[in-house]
Formats: sequence, structure tokens, C-alpha cells
Amino acid sequence: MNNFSIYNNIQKSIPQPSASPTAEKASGDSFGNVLKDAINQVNSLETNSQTEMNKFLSEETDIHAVMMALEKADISFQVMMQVRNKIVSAYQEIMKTQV
Amino acid sequence: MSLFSAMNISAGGLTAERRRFEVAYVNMINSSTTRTPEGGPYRRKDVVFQTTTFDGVMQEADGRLQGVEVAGVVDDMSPFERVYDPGHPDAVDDYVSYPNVKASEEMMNMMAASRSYEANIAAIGILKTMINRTLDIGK
Amino acid sequence: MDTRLFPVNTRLFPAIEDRMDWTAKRHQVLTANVTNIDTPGYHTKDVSFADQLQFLQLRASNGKHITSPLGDSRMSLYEVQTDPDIKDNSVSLDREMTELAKNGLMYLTMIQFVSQKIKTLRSAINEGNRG
Repeated sequence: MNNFSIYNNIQKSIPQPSASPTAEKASGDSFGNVLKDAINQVNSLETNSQTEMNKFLSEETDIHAVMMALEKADISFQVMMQVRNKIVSAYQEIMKTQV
Repeated sequence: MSLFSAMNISAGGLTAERRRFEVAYVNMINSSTTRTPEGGPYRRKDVVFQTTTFDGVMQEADGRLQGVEVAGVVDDMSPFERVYDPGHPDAVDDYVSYPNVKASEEMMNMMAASRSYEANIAAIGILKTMINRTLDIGK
Repeated sequence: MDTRLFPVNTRLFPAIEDRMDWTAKRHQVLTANVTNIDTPGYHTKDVSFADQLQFLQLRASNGKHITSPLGDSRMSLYEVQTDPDIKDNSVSLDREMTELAKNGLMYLTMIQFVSQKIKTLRSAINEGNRG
């Protein structure tokens, strides 16, 4: 079922603070890129939910489709917030150790 | 907009059935009216139902959704009932013409219209639940 | 690492959401059946979803298929095989009210399912916050 892949993706995409920054940079998945990806995702889903809403208002789509689009956008937004939080706390940890 | 247009369809049904009920009711209370302003006894009326498509409903190719509307109210042209009663004020040639209405038939009509009306109400109820729950997704 | 969780044009739960589309359209048609219970010349209609055609052949063996999709190529509108009455109306109130109730329940069940999954997703996201 689809939800399992979603769970996997969520686990993979929320970076752990213990990952060392140099290793991240080396593989090209810097924190910055991860956050940028997440933000772009949020943007496009927000736009999509707006599009669905307009379609609903002009009677082209049904209400459950709109609600699902809204939920999708909301969830991706929450993921982004979590990503951001993790990055911030990882950064703070790093700053603490560099004495 | 499938769900919301179902609302329109049911609403059309409510209007039509109510009309049908009213006409049957008027028939029934006039079942003994031997004199009308137009002259002669009361003539039974009937509603004509026909399908209708709605503007703004998702018009889907040829499979257009059809609600119902009352096309009109027509006279029932079946003959009046003639009763021999020379003393009656409305007698013509010793015969009185009574309306071509059978009260029992109109009663049944009213009951059927009422039942159909209730069915449309029930349909709207189901629809409301569906829409309300949809709005609560994920909460 | 792929953060593309929810590509814009795919649905969260495609199979379920497809079914929801179908029940929504079907609800419209069933409601039309109920409304037209007394309309002369009206025949009971129903909506089939793509993979149901074979199953439905049994139920509506000579059901005439109005081969026009309801603006949606996955579904088609068809006439149910029932006997019309004296006014050429073939709607049975009992059947339609039952089907309406069943269809509504099916829709609500799917909504419930999806709703639960979304709530679980949310807690998965937010639980990752601790630790």
C-alpha cells in the first residue's frame, strides 16, 4: 500500500542531528538543500491546493478532492517545519561543540 | 461538484412532490363541488412530471443528470358523474353533474406524494452527513 | 535522499480516492433516481467503475450501456435492467433508498479511513520531534 512508502520517505527525509555535517556535505545532501527541497515542495503543494479550490468553486471538481489536496499541502508543510527544526537544533549542537 | 448537485436534484424533487400533493388535495376537497365560477362542476386536475437538467450542474456529455420538474397542471378530461336528482339547485335536465374526482384515489395520491417527498428528504440527510464528514477529514 | 514526499500530481491514496470519486458520482445518479420515482418514461440508472463492468454484467445482464462517460473516462452511466411499470417508469423506491444508504456508508467509510491515515501520518511527523 502506498502509506508504507510515505512512512519510509518521512523517516528518510527528517535528518538526524547526530549526522556529521561534513559527511552530509560530501554526499551533496546538505542541510540547506534538504530544506530548500522541502520548501519547494510546500510551495507547489500550496499552489496545487489553491488550484483545486478554484476548480471546486467553478464546479469542476468534488469536495473530497479539495480536502485531500488541502491535507496534502498541510502535511508537507508540517514535514518542512520538522526538517527546519531538526536543522536548527543540529546547527545549535554543532555551534556548541566548536569551542 | 457531484455531491452538491445532488442537493439540487433532491430539492427539485421536493418541489415537484409538494406540487403533486397540493393538486391532489385540492381535487379531494372539491370532490363534491357542483358549482364553480366558470360554471359547471369542478374538473379534476393532474400534474405532469418531466425530467429536467439543471444549469450549473456538471453537464457530463450525454449522460446528463436528470432531476424532475412539474411541466404543468392539466385538466382531467374524463366525464363527470351524472346523478338523477331533479330537486337539486344545480340540476340540469333533472341531472346533477358531479366532479370526476374519487376522494379515495386522491387520498392515495397524497400518500404517495408524501412518501416520495420523505424519500427526497432522506436523500438530503444522507448527503449532508457525507459533506459534513468530508469537511472534517484529518481533524 | 529524496524529500519529494508528495509529488503534486499524485494523490495520497490513489486507489481510495478513485473510489471516492466513483461513490460521489454514483450518489448523484442514485439521487436522481429517487427524485424521478414518479416521472413517466424514466428508467433507473447507475454508474459503473472501470473494473466493475464484468461483475455488473451479471447483475444487469441486458443493461443498456449509455456509453457516455460522466465527463470521466473511468466510469460510465448505464441503465439498470428492471421492469418498467405502466407509465414506463422503472424506479423502485426500496432499491434506490437502500442503494443510497449503502453508497453513502461506503463513502463515509472511505473518508474515515483516509482521515485516520492522515492523523497517523501527522503523528509520525510530529513524534519525530522528540529525540
